[in-house]
Amino acid sequence: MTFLRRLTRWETGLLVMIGIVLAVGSATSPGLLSTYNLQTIAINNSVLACLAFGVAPVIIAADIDISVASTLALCGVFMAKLWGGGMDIWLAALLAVGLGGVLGLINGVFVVLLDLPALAVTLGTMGAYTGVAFLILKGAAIVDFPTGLLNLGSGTIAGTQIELSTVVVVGLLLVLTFVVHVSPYGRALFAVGANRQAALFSGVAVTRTRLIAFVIAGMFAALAAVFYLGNYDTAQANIASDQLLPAITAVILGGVSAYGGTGTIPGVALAVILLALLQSALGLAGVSGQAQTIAVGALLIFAIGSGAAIQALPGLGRIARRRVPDSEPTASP
Amino acid sequence: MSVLRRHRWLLGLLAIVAALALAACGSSSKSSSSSSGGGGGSSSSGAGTKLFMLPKFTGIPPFTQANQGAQQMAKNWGYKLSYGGPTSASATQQVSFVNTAVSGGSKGIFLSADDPSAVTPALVRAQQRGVKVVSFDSDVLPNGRSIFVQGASADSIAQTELNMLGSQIGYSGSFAILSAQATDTNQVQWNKVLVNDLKTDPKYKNMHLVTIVNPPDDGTPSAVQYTQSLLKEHPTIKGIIAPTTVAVAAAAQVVKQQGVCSKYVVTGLGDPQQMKSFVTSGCVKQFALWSFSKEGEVAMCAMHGLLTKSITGKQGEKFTCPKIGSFTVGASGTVTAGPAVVFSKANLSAFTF
Repeated sequence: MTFLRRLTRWETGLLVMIGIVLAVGSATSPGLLSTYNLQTIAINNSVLACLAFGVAPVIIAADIDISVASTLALCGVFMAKLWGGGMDIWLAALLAVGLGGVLGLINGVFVVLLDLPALAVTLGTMGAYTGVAFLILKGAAIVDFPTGLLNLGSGTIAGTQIELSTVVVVGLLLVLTFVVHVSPYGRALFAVGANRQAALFSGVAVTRTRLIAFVIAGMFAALAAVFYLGNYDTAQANIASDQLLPAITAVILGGVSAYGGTGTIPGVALAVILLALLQSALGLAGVSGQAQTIAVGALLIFAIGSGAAIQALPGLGRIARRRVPDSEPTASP
Repeated sequence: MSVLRRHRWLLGLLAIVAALALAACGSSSKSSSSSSGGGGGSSSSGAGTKLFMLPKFTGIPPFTQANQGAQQMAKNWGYKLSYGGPTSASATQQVSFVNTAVSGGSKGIFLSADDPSAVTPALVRAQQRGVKVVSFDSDVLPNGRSIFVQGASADSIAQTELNMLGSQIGYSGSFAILSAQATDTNQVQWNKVLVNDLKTDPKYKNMHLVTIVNPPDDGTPSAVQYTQSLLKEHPTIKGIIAPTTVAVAAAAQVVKQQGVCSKYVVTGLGDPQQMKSFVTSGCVKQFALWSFSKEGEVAMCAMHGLLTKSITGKQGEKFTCPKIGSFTVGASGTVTAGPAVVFSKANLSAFTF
């Protein structure tokens, strides 16, 4: 790929934006790059990262899943209830991840096997899963989880200042990157997202690919629940409901096309970092929570707009070359 | 394409993570001496020291008054008090405010918690950085703060509520409690003491608590909705105790709207200005509160004591508050600012908050 093409790749743009935010942010608020603040950013965005990583494969496959935050809440409540009943916290966490997979599978059954619109189905399950969580806890909260879990949520690796949750999130990132970009499943995922009919006629196992994507989303939502419980020490039916929109924003901002078929998981990770740094910098500069959402929304629109503009560039070049009277035949880009 | 070239962006990402990790390790060695945020970390009680007050949520009189009281008291020592919080009760947003305040250089934090467990890990981290924490109104877990200032003791609140209701229903009959969201520390504590009093005190032996209602948030629409369904489900109760200023106003509103003021006694903890119209119309005969302004003042005095290291929050320590008096730290770092005050038509006009 030409150097120019490489320069204008989406991820480069994200890296540039991260650099800008770091530079401007630390100039206005020196506290942005303090250990304390970086640690804070890391632990408070582990949940967002997990949710975004999980829902990215679904969007790449040209589906959508807006029930991930509710899945998080239900898995968190489930895990808390099991632990409250005497089970070891890590076994409860493992079962919660299993439940996440099942909840994702339910979405998959309705969307893929019954061929219902993904947005409508996951809108329904979003309400249903939250409802079940309410039924389990009836508005109460389970709190005061074991130190081991709290350590995962907000503790550092012994002897260093690196947050334990960050290490685990990076591990999950590597695993998912392998699955989506190296393994045969990943190739099938992109094929299905780019053109479902073509993939079907090419012999790709479309149904299974889409189902697995939903299961991945569910399991990552459950993992996000483990981080949430570790960081906030509270399990309630309405936890993390405000994380859904940021998660989807991070995925789109990360370069995953809403139409499916393109995008990278590392790109999503970069987008999560960008969003986290941006919100921290804005918060330190005194910008209110509401105004922060305006900035995030503007960033998203700008990113999508410039993405479309960059894609149009080769076309503009073609038009310019045509004006020269005795030019050689233009090669198609 | 080679595997490595295809995944150069992964390498780029790893490079960023490594860079941030190195930056963190690098700055950790100098974070204690030259604290970011201007003005070294040596003297933390001088004039201009930044403090931050974080209510459960902004926009209701109790917290606005606590802020005013604290601001007034801060003038004595030249502290700079900033005030801010989520617009609706949210523990995760409170955590953000705590983190921002600390990163922004505040040396002391006051807060009233939406959820004691959720916000404590962040407070513990703040305290590790030398920030002093004073909770007020709604406590956090004890390891997350040095001192907790309560406007009135839980015992006096529970007794006052039961007596206000009891005196209007002849100390006999069933009633319900309309509370707030299930994690509010102060609500949980007061209701627990009230339930215990019902069981153990013979004065209330004919009063029977039917249910405690916990709307999912501390806002008025939920309180109104839950009052309406409460009255539908339990039409035979004699009254409602609502221990939050939002809930008691909402309950009074519903009872007045349905025209059943004579059938149901509404009482609880209310703000005088907010409850004025209900009292003058006779719908609500009595309710109680205490001065949040004073609570803010006492909290600021306690913070001053902590910052100047004259107290540490241990039981038995004393500190004085200019123009108010001296206070003694009670069990588990708790300080009581004063008694609850009962409001009725007779004395309502005297209170301007």
